[in-house]
Amino acid sequence: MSEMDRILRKKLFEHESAMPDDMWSRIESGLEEKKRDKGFAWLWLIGILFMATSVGVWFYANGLSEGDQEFLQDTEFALGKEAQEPVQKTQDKPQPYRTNEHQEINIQTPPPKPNSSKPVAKIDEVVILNSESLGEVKKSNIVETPAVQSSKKRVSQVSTKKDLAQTEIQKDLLMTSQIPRLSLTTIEQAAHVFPDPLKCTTFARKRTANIFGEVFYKPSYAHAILRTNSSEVGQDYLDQRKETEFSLYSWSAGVNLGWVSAYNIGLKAGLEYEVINERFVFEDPDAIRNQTVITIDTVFNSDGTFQTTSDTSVVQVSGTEVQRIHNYHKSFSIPIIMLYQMNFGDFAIEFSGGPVFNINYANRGKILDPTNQDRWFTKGASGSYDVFKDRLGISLSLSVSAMYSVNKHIQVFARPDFKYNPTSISRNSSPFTQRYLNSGIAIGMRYYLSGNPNF
Amino acid sequence: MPLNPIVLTEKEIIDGCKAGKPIAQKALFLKYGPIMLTVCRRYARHQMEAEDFVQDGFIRVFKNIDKFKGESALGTWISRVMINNALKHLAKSAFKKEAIGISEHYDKDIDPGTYAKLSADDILKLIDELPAGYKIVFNLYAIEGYSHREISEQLGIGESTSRSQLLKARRMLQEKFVELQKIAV
Repeated sequence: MSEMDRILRKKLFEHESAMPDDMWSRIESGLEEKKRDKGFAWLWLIGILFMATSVGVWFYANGLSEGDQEFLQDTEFALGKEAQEPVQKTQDKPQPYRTNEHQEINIQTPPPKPNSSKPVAKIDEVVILNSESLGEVKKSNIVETPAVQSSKKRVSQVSTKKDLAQTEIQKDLLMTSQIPRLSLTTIEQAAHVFPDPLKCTTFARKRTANIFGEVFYKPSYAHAILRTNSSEVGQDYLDQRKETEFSLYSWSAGVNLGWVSAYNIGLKAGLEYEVINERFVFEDPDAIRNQTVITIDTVFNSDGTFQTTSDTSVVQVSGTEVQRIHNYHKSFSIPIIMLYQMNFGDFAIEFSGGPVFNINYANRGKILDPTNQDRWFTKGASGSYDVFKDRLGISLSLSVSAMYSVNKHIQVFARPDFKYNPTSISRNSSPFTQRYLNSGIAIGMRYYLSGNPNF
Repeated sequence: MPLNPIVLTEKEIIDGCKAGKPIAQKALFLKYGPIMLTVCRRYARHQMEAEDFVQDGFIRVFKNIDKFKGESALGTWISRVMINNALKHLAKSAFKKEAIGISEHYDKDIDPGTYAKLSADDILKLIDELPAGYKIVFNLYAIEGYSHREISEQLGIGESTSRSQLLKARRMLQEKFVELQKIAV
C-alpha cells in the first residue's frame, strides 16, 4: 500500500457525511413497501393453492373411477377368467328399458350362444329413473346362471376363511361387481338420449390436447396508486397530483398462442399492447402570456398611391391559464399465463393468471413536480422531468373467462381481468411511487387448431 | 416511556433488528448512516445517487440482518452490503469499457504532507471526478482494502485490468492533487 493510499484511507475510512433529514423516513417507507410486496406474495400463494386444489379435485374425481376399475379387476381375478366375459342377456327378444317418463330404449344384445359354458347373468329388468338430478340405476335384478354360481364356488375355495360370513361378503362382492359393469354401459348409452339437464362440469379428461390462438380487446380502467417515499414531499403534493390528474378510458389489445392439455390445464403467451390514458388539468392563476401584436397602417399619399407600414410589438397578458393535457402511458408486454378450464357442454369457465413482462414503455404528458410546477415528463424529450422508468418490470394478471363454443373451432369469451404493477413505474430517485391497478373486461375470440374437444 | 435509539447497545440493536423492531432499526441507521453515506459517496456519481444507495442499502441490511453471524464487526458487514449494493446498481454503467488513455498522465513526486493537508470532503470531491471504473477500483483497493483478486471476482474483470485501472486512478488523482496545489498557491 502506498503512502498516498494510507493517508487517504485514514481520512476517509471513518469519515461521516451529513445525512439528509428525510433519509430515515425514506428508508422506513422503503421497508413498508417491501412488506406490502410480501403481502402481495400471498395473492400468488392463493392463486397457486387454487390451481393445486383444482388439480387435486380433478385427480380425486378420476381417482375414484380408477379405484372402481381396480376393484372390478380384483374381483374378476378372484372369479376367474370366465367371469371377465361381458354379461349377456338370456332373452331372445331385446327388452326395453322403462323409464318413469314411459320412454323405451331398445338395446340390441346378442343372444346367448347355445351350450355355452361361460357364465351368464340373466337380467329380468333394469329400470333407469330419469330423476331431476343425475340418472341412476334404480333397480337391478340379476338371476344367476349355473356358470356364475360355479364361479362363486371357486371364490369360496380360494378364500382362506371359509366361514359363512366370509362367503356372504364374497357374494356381495360378486353382486356389486356385476352391477357397475352393467350400469356403466347402460348409463353411457342412455346419456345420449337423456343429456344431463344441469350440464354439470365434466371434470373429464379431454380426448386430445389442443393448440389455440386468440385475439382480444380490453376496455379498462387504470387506477393510479400514488405514494411518496420522501418526507420532503408530503401528502399535499400527492393531493395536488390527485386533483390534477384524472383517469380516462384505457384499453389494451393482444394476441396469444396457447395450449390446453388433456387435463384442462394449459399455458398461453403472446403480445399485449396497452394504453393508459389520463388527463392533466392545471389552472395557473398567475400565468403571463406573451402576445405578439402586429399593427398595420395604410397611408394614402397625395398622388393617390398608398403605403402600408407594419409594426410588431409583444404584449404581456396576465390571467388564469387552464391547461388540459392528454397524458398517456403506452406499453408492449409479453404475458405468460397459466390457465385451467372447467367445461359445461358448450360453455366453459377458464381461470387464468400469471406474470406480464414489459418489453417497451413510452409516455407523454405533464405532471406537477414537488414545487407545484407543471412539468413535461415525455420520455426522450430534452429537458423533460425524468421520473418514470424505461421499463415497467413485471405485472401480475388474474382473470376469469366465460367462454362459449360457437362451432367446433371457434370460442368467444368475455374475461374480467385484473392487472397490478407490484413495482413502481417511477424511478427510485423520483419523489413519489406510482403504481397501477388495471381492471377491465376483455372480449375476444379463440380458435382451436384441431377443434375444440368439448364442443 | 419510549426507548431512545441512541442508548441501545450494539447487541440490542442487532437483536432488535433481527426481531424487526423499528426502534433498533433506527438506532442502527443513526449509528452507521453517516459513515455509510461517505462509503456510498465514493462509489456514486453524485450526491443524490449516493443517498439512493444508502436508502436501498439499509433496506437490504434490515432484510438480511439474519445473515449477520457476528464473524466480523457490524460496521464492516454493513459497509460490505452497501458496497455490493452500489456495485450492483453501477453494473449497468459500462465502466469496463471506458477507455481513457494514460499517455497524458505521468507520475508526479508529491510530498505526502500534501495529502494530509486536504480535508476528507476535498478528497471525496477529487475521487468523485475520477471516471467510474477508476473510482470503483481505487475505492475497493485503496480505501476498503480489497485485494486485486477480490476486486476481479466482485466486478467480473481480470486481475490485470484491476491493477491497470488502479494505476491509472492513482496517476489521475496525483495530477488532480498537483492542480489543486497550484490553485491553492
